[in-house]
Amino acid sequence: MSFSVVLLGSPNSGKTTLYNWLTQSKFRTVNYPGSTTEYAVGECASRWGLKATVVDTPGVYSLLPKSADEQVTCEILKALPLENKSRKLVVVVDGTQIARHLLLARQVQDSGVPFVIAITMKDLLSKQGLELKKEVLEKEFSVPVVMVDGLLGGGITDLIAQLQTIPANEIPLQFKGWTQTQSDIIRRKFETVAEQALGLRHASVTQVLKPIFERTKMLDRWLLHPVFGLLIFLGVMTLLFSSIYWAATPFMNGIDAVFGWLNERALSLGEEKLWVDFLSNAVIAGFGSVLIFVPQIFILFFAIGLLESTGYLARAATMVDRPFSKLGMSGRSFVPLLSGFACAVPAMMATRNISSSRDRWITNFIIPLMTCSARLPVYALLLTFLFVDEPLKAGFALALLYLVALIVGAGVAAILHRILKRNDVSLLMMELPLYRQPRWSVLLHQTLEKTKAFIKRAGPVIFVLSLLIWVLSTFPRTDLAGNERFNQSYLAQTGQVLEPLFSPMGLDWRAGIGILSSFAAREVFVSTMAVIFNIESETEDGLSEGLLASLREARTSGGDLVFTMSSVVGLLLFFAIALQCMSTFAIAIKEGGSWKFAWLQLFVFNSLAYGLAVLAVQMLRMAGLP
Amino acid sequence: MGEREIEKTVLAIQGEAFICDRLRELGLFVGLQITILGRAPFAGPYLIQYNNTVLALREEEFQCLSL
Repeated sequence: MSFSVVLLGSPNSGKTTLYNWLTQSKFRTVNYPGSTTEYAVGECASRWGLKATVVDTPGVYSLLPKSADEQVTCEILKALPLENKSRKLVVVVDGTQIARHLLLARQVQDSGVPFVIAITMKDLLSKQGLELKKEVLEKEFSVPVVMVDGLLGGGITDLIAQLQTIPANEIPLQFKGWTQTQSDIIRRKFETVAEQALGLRHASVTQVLKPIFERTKMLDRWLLHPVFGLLIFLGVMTLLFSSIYWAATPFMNGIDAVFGWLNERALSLGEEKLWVDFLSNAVIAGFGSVLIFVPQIFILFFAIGLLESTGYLARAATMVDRPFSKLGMSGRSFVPLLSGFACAVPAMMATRNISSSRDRWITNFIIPLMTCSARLPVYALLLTFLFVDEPLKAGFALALLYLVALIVGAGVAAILHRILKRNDVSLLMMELPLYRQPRWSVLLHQTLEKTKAFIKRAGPVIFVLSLLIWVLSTFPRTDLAGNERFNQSYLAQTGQVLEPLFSPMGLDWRAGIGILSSFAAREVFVSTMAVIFNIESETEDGLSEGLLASLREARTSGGDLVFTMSSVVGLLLFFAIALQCMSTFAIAIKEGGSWKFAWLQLFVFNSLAYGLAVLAVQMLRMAGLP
Repeated sequence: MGEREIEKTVLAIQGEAFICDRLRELGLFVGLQITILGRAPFAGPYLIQYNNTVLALREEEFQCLSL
């Protein structure tokens, strides 16, 4: 009989490491039935010889939840059957923090649900010549206790064996709470238990385990230093960002080349045929526009995973907590905002461990302002246009665009912070875990899985919309071809109707179409521009001489140049701020809890973007600039 | 985060119930000996250590501990 194994434990208890050992880091996200929350589920790897589903839960300090994340865990514990199966519970306990972590085990026991205790960090104890006597714990709890080594995977077979001895059940886990007195008694009891388990009689557990924490303490002297800590932090961030660009570039070029080649092959089947056009411009271009960003997203997931597994992320969150609090967010907003620089979708999903829903709301609201990787092709095109043969200036302008987005983000957050009333408690109370060496193979594996999950989620949406754009830009005159057909298409007709909207930005309907189409996915702007200006551009970056030259010469019906310095600046500002991404909109509905949040976000950012773009263009023109 | 580590004893945990509950769940209790390691940059959270656990606490969370 198959069952679901649920891993329960405090943050930093080694729970996720255990999960990775059990499932080889594989996971898929599933929806908790009846709500918008999701959790990670994987199948037990075949090497363990157990047919079971493994469910990882967000870390909890107690079964009385104090954040959205903890709420999810509590709901998972009540959701039965889980994955259509009965469930078996494993409570993960950090061997170096026994007394504290056993409280959770006791809460589970009080709820009457059978479980197994898995003790982690065995390797750290062994290094100090310490051994944990699991019999002590087995006696205390009357449940099977297993020692697990997160480093080498020792003890997993033992865990599997012990899991067979407890019954799979469907008892919803509900903990009623303890009184102050009860808590005190239980706490004191566990201190004694911890001492006995480590075989100590007169020494205190803290003293004996102290050497394990020495290195971390020393490192924190520098990494949390008021001056050096900050400098190191800035250094780490700079390294992270620059690597997203220079390390990703060769891969992106590779993917570009592959899709360019695919496109060529497709077109060789007969460009005039409609289905070939569909294949090339909808299917291949659609997939290409999603896959081109995979290298950057991979690198960002990798970098964040690295910072997290070493323990540095908690320090980073601690350092930014104060400034972030002034903007209505928290230190825990750091990782989501950082992830937003790759893509807003995983970023908005990462805000769940922010305890205050108000902090979370504000963080989610400004995430789309973080310059995501999809904006880069657009920036690349427009900046190359502005700064011909001046790569240094272009680079500087790019950095400036990032800064502008950050400033606008901070501004919007500050305003929201003023407007929104505080209706819940905001907590930091961040535990700073031990610094650890990352396990590279696990990290790589994890990153791969997260990247795959991203593609599976965002892919279909972008693809469907590219398709839609193709349909709208091809029909109704399929008897015509190329530019003529496009000029008569539904999309073009819409653009022409809306032209008055785009003229204050100094643009004509063709650029306007580009903007409209970029609402599917920002990078579609570049390929749309290529299509409209009728240039054979096989790659999506469209930086061929042909496209740029055409853009330079494009004129409105009135004879004015469409792409001038001011209109391009306007475009850049627009793309920096506007919310143009159906995937983000879809995720916003989910994470914001209602359509209201998503629509508000869409409206605010797009009006702001439009307003600023128009303002910039008009002001530049009044100043006499082209 | 300098050399000046201050040892204190927790005399009471009082204030916002939500915060105090969490502080206790994190292992703090009356009579516990804690070490104040300093503050994070930007006059940020207080860093306290007890029983080999290091915690970063905001001003308002730290104030719940009478030392």
